[in-house]
Amino acid sequence: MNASSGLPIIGVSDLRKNFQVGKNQVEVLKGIDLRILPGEFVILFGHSGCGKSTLLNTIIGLEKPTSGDIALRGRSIYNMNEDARAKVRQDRFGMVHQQSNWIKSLNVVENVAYPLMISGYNRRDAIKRAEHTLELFKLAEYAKYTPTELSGGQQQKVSICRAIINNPWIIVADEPTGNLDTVSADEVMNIFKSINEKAQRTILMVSHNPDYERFATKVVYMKDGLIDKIINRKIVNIDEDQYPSDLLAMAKGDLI
Amino acid sequence: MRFSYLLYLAYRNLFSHKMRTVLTASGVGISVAFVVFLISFGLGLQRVSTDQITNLDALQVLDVSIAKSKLLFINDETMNKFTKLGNVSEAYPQVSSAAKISYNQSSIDGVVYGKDNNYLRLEDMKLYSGQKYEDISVDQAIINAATQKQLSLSDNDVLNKEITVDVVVRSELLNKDEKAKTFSKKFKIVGVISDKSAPFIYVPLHIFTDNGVVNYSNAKIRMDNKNDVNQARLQVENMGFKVSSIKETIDQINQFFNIFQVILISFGGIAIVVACLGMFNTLTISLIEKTREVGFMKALGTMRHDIYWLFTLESVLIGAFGSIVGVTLGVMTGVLLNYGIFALASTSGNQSVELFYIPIPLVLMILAASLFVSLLTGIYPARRAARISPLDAMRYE
Repeated sequence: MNASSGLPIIGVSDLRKNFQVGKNQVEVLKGIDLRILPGEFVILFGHSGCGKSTLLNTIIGLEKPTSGDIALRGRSIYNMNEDARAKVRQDRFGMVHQQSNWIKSLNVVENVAYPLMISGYNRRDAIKRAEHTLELFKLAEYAKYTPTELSGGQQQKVSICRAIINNPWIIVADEPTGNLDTVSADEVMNIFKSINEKAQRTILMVSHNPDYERFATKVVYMKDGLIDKIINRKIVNIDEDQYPSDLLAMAKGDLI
Repeated sequence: MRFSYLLYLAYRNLFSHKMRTVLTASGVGISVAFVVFLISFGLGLQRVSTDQITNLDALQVLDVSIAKSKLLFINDETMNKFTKLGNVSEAYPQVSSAAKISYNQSSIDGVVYGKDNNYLRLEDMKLYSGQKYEDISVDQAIINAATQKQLSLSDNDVLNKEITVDVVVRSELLNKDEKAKTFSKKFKIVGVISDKSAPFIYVPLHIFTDNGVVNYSNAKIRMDNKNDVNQARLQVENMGFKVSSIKETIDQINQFFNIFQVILISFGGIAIVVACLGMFNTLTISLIEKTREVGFMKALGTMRHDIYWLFTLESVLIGAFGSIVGVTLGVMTGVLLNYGIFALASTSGNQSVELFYIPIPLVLMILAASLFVSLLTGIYPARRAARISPLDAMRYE
């Protein structure tokens, strides 16, 4: 896994996606090419309806493209079946949405442990790891709460815990600060930044806020289903072997 | 996902809607209890009526008669043949005749049967008071309650009273060339049986044979082994006689009760269908409520079959909870009512009956069946859940 080989962790090639709206075909993605390298912090900017979310959903394997392909470390994900793509999401992606989604009958720590349960962990180990994750983010005291009892900022931090518990390659965030006040939003952005810098996990984020440009190593501007321009703010060329293989094997306080 | 975790998740989902879960499960529970109750009532009734008719011993006895034949006779020679059939252990005849029975000034028409103690034993006769004939050389009679009543004899002084019986002997009971005749005789009452249908009395067989009777009306034969009954029956039938047994009556009663059971079960079935519709409704609503959640679970990488099993398990858990409670409720109701009947019977001095009866294997079968039905009910919502498109679902509010 030597990154100097230049193999992108996410490779998007000539991606097109049409939606059927009534009798009309609407072209949402009109041929996207994008290479994201390991360790990059990519922010996608663009107006509503420019196709950012569709691109994101296609990358995580939820939206089958009309043509073109997505490859993760060179492996195409759309010639697999649906369950195999589900497995890829289990193992390789962590997801944070604008609005937190919870399994309402489970408490905070059980929600955080859920991605491990999907991949067949036993419950005790999963809960232990989830408790450890919450501790890293100073959220341990909320473990037994119902998620919706927490504030928006706290919920987003718990979402991040859930997104990283399976030690993913890539963390995908769809406007994670969209519903937060500026203080909480900064806190959340700083968490993403330290996950990116200290653990060198690749981050792909959709945002509306131009201020966040400073967190990114690469900024992608989209317009009408095409990439308008790409700004590389910082050249990332990391040796992944130098970074912890387990994202959670970090000292308390390192990530926050 | 591990099965144990799916079970846990299903349990948590149900637990977070306690009221809804309890109400739905109650629907299942009440209908299952209803079915258990109806079945145990049907079976109990069936058991009570067949028990009433006979003990098991009576199944080994066949009744032989000549039916309407003018050529066949049951006489000492035929009785000998019956006894010699390989598997017959006992054979005894009886004679019946019309008679006038008189006591003091009152006299009534009735039937007089000539039969000995052995025949009475095969008949499983139950005495209400008194005893069987102790010495057949003395002229003794056993009368039924109808005779007692019509002769105005009271319970206290019926025994040892002397009655006069005028017997009409039909010609077919006598030797070929003899004509019908009558004879009269006095008998001492030694026993009373509780039958209240029509007046009849029993007297020892020799009363008839002493008066020239050579052909008997019918006979009872008994096999030691229950398995020989059918063969003996065939053999006797091949000799031209008509054979009947208590088994036929029991078969008829059982047949009636089978139909009765089917009717009861269909009523119960309707209740179960209604409960299932309720459960189906609950599952569908819970699916609609959870559309977004299911979508998100799939977005996180939950497999389709895990979602499928999650919903199926919720249905099965409701069904299991409902049917366990229902079966307990149904069985308990039967037991309590049995106890009530017992208490009532012992205070009023009547013979008690177990009106509700259900064997354990049947209870287990009902449990299994209702679990299966709840599994079936869960399949459609579960399939719908498994097919939810994560993106559509997450846009769903």
